[in-house]
Amino acid sequence: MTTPVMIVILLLLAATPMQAQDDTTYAVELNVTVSPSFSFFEHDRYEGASHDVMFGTAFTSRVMWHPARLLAFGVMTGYTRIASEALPTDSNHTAGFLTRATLTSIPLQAVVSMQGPNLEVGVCMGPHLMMTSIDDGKPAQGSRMELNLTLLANYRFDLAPDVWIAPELRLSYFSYRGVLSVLPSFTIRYDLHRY
Amino acid sequence: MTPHWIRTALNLTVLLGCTWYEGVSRDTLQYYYEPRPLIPSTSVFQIGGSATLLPEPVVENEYPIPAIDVQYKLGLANEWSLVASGSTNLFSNLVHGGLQWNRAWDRFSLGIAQHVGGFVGFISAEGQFDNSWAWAGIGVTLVRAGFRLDDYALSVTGAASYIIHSESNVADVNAQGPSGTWNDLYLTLAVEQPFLKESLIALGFSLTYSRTPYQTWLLFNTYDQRLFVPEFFCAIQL
Repeated sequence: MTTPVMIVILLLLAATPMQAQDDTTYAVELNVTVSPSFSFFEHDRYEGASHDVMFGTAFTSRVMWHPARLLAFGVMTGYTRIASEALPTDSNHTAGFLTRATLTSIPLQAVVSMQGPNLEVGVCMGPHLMMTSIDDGKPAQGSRMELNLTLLANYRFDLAPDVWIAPELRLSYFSYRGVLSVLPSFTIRYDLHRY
Repeated sequence: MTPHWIRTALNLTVLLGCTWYEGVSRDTLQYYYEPRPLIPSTSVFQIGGSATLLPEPVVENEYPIPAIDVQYKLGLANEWSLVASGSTNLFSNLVHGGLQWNRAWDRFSLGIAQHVGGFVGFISAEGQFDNSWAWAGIGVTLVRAGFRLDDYALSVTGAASYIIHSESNVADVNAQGPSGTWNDLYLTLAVEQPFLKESLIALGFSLTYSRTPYQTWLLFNTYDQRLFVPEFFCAIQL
């Protein structure tokens, strides 16, 4: 019963007039995305850690080159805060939680996406610069490059000429650490250049 | 009544701004992974790159191994085609080819292929790897299924490879490798579509389940278990 209704809605959405983006228009598109993130850790974050979902935030930006057809290529960077939590100072948790551990990253990724009139489906591949910091009064920091795979999908609505807003869903996986993040996001897209 | 999964595909095409079933206007496009029969005596040639992530137990770090790939498909008469595929990064080289049977039913297509080929690897780095080499004779059986949309084609390939005989000589240790055994199973997903001007592009992902990933021939792989090896590829059809 719901399926025919959905098809009608989708057809109507697909039939909505859109900005001229015919078979010969090339575009350079800037996307800025803001996301809360919910991260699941495959391994214990520290001995005796809870299995809570870690809450974080991500601010990313990607520039896409979109020649004429469905396919677009681009690069993505930004800043993400994957987890931040207070660690127990001793195993009995009697001395309180005085140490703060934070995991942040800078994505340096290539993006490939397919874009219809409103829908975009894409994949981001490449490393994140992972940065860990432990602060117990004397902060200690470390960093290393790790590979990540992110899938994204968004559906955009007209906001102004050359500007769109799109609810976006991302799934991000860090294979080395076994961290899976779900990021319900909002993206603002602006077409920098058309030719 | 249209089956549910066809309706799902229909929804997707509508979302991607393509019209469903307005005649396959781009039927004349011919792709490599999609097993639609080629027009006899026409061919498809594509060149691209791939990045393979070797399993952590073998390499202890996640470095993508790059390679250059070339693929060729020639249409013979009556739904048959001749296929050849090569991959190299200088140290590891894989070549195989064979016959493929193809059939299309409207937007769907199916292909079954049998390839034979070989692997050769060699490196000569002074000190540690003087004159190291390996080779293998292989057979590959592939089943491909494709689905053609107006603006792109989706395909899935399942394949199994069999090592007829293999040998290696790494740092003066000569050994017979796996022989007479099924070595890899792999699954490939590909999206093929028009790209710049008249060129076509194939993008995809391949997951290999292997006991001896051929790219690890130089390493002392003592990890005798089947491992997953993911690979990403991109190829331009010329």
